[in-house]
Amino acid sequence: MIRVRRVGRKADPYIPTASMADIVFLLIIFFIVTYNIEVDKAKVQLPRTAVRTDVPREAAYVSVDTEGIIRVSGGKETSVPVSSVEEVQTFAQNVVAQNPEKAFVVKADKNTRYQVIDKILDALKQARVKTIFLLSEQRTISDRT
Amino acid sequence: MKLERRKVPPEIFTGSMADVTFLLIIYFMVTMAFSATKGLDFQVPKEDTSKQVQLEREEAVEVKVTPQGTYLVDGKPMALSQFADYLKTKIVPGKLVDGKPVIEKPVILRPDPQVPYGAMMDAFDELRQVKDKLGLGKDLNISLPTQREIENLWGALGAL
Repeated sequence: MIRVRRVGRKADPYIPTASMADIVFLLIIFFIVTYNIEVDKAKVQLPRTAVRTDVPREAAYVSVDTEGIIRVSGGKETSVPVSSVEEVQTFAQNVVAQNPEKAFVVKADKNTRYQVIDKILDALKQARVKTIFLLSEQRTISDRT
Repeated sequence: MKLERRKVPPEIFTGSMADVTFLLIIYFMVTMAFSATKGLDFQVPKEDTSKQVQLEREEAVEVKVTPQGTYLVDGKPMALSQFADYLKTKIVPGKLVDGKPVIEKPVILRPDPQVPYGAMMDAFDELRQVKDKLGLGKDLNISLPTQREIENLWGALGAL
């Protein structure tokens, strides 16, 4: 009987990691593309609605937080507090002068008195803003009985 | 004497590449804003004098939000869930758009200044859903006049 001997090189056991970098780079590119910079960090309890439309990227923000502080942002930079509604109007006019199609997002706490929102909407309307979004969260079945 | 030199195979070390990129991924994931990026949109009507006519009371459905947070539709107290049924009576008889009925009357939403923003959004949301609930051919024409616009209108009507 002939004894068969295995000939040839013994393969080293290893996990190929060369493609790992490619995969991870792909993920990074995905994150960079879909990255949304949070321009307004005001903590608010948003009203809940069933109808919701996507806000366009880099829309300008006007936010009213729980303490009633109004902040504005052109969409790229972090929002800055303003002292009056008149300032909101001046700000909106400047933004609209640069880009007449710019959408504005109103991010307000659900317990804010409507008169504040009314004044902000009026300021935006007078600044000839074309589209306004009222930021909201998804309404769930338990929200309204 | 000749020195023996061990030859090192030329290679770029890529083993740590994955580690570096993973670190970047984690950074992007952590700093990514998971904030709400959706909301109710509305188009601001263009400044047009002919459109001002729409604000006349008889021509429109008026939805008021009272300081107590209740809703008055054309002066009648109503729950949010009854809006669709009420607006059904405002469908233009015989008129179809894409084979579906339409409501031509504009809806004016007038929240009281003291009302919380959330109550106004509930009403706005409900009105936006009427299109689907009644299977209408086009969106309801909802207008949200500001206090100043209302005062201006009354001023203009008073001058007539």
